Amino acid sequence: MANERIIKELMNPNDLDSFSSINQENAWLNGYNKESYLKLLERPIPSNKNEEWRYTKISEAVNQFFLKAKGNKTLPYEFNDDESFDDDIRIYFYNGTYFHQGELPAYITTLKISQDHPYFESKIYDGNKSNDCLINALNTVLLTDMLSIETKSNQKIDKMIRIINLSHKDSALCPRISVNLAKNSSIKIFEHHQSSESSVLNSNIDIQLEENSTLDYFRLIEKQTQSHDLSSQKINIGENSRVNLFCLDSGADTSRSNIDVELDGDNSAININALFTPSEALHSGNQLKINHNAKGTKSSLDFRGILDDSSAGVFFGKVKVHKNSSQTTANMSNQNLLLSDYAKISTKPILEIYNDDVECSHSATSGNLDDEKIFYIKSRGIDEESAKKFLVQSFAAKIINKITHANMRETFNNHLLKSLKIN
Amino acid sequence: MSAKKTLLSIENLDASIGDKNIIKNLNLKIHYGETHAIMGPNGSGKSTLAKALAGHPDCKITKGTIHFKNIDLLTLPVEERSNEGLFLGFQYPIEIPGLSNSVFLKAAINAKNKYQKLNDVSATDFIKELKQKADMMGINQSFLSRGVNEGYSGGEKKRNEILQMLMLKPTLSVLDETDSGLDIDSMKIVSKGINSMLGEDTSSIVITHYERLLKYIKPDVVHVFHNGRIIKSGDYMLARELEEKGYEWLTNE
Ligand SMILES: Nc1ncnc2c1ncn2[C@@H]1O[C@H](COP(=O)(O)OP(=O)(O)OP(=O)(O)O)[C@@H](O)[C@H]1O
Ligand SMILES: [Mg+2]
Repeated sequence: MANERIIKELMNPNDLDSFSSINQENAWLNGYNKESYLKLLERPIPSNKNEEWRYTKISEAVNQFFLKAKGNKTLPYEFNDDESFDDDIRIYFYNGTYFHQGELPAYITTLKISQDHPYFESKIYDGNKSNDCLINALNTVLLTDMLSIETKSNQKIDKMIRIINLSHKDSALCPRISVNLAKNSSIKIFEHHQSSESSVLNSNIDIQLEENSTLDYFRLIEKQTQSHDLSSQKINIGENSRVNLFCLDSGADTSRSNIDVELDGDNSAININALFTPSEALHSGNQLKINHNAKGTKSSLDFRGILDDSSAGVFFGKVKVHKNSSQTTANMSNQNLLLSDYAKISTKPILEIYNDDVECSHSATSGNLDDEKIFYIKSRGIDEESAKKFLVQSFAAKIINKITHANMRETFNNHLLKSLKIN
Repeated sequence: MSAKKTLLSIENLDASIGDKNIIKNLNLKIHYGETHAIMGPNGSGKSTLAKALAGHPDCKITKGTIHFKNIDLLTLPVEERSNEGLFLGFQYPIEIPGLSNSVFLKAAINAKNKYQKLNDVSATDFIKELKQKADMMGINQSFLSRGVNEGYSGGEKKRNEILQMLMLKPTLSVLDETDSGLDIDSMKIVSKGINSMLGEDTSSIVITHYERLLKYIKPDVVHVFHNGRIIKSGDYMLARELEEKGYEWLTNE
């Protein structure tokens, strides 16, 4: 098998211990790393013919992952934290370790492998059990630390929990987060992958919501240079609970996000609003699988792609409404703006419905900037370049304006303008 | 009467869209302070003339000249024609969802100021003027933060065109069927807007199918457009005659 060759050429199983010096004293975790690695050897790395991986150069990303993982070394960290708001809790992930400034509140724990073994073990186990995908298996190979966020019943947290992934040159980084919301609780998480060069980031998050809870989750992936960004988001939503997810992905050599949502509780809901804005020869891949497993569940997916130069974007969305999920609402939309004749987009919205009592819609459109709109704007005295910028911004505004959190809206808008080379 | 200064001069103009020649040897002269009405059957080329003036990329000038303020208009890009003081009120205003009306208008005014080497408009002055003119056009304040023409009714779009005209203060307004689809009250509001712009230093071309609007704005000249050129010109009485008799008596000649 091709993948076996790729992996074997790069390393042999005995090399695993050298991934991280911290690992050596923790045989049980090494066990997980090893197990995951062996699992990888067994599974074929999906080819471009595989519908779910089409246009995603995954074997190259895996290849780079192992190359970088082998070369991982401890470097002094450099901060480049340009934005901060007073109401933030800031946690950094660097060099396989979570760290933070000041005291963390009780609902956030950084699980070090040298502590809390049984607890940590159960957390990894939960994650692996529910998420048997390539990205998750890769993450576990390098897994060292984990961040756990756990609310108590009725706990409403206003502060934004900011998690900043700092990749350094020639590194592979595998952050892992576990989020558990108890009844009637609410939190806000902002996950930020700063722009990096020649690195591989593989982030995994497992999210569980009990009844009546709310999670606002923001993901910002800055433009990555000669890098790969793989992520897996696994979300289980309980009764009357809701997750609002906003994403901005400016692309990487391979940028691939797998979002798996189980709407398990009656009247649970997921809203995903996302922008992907690759330029140059970068890529942005978005895979979504939403399962409506209960009554009165709602899903709303709004993905907008802005593709420049010779970049490529992928949207693969599969929404499944199961037999007993009556009164379900499912809306899925992917609209794309191609700013260059060389940019490519592949879009595939799929609805699978096994119930009559549903309200569903899906749409996908792709097009260039509208010449009549450009003319209209120019006819009011505005030059062509500004007219185009207005149109691109107005296209993205439909997503940005849905962010009700003012600081986040500003942050996302600034990063959007940066990635579009506007301002 | 002293010799009138020419604002717009079109000579022997041919213009085509695609392979089709639509404007055929058109001649038209407009002086400062004049209002000209252009009437004529569907498909006669009235909107094509408006597009030729504004510089629509689909509209190719194959012969003739257009001078505006003694400048060769055909050498100017679309945005500079606007900055020089030419305004086109669209027959079918374009919707731009997500771009707010006030952001758009402010950018337009600042583009013009920059072209004329003036400072940016102050935010407070801009808002004050915008509110006052929106009131005059019966446009609710809430529309100003909405996307340009986004979800507006036909009549609201036309009133918004006039609002843009009032804010940009053009020297020449070319209004392409701004009166089509307006109810009686909107018609009065729009004519009030147009009339408020008229003066010694401004002119307008009003393209219309109905005498009704002309009753309010009293054009100096009425032209009948047919087959890409002007076949008859007269005063306001010509518009009334057309209203009664239609175009056939002219086009069959
Ligand atoms: N983009 C185009 N492609 C092909 N033909 C066009 C195009 N635009 C205009 N035409 C043709 O040019 C002719 C003149 O059109 P124009 O819109 O100027 O007419 P008009 O006088 O404004 O008519 P109306 O009163 O209906 O608005 C018509 O025959 C029309 O079909
Ligand atoms: Mg017309």
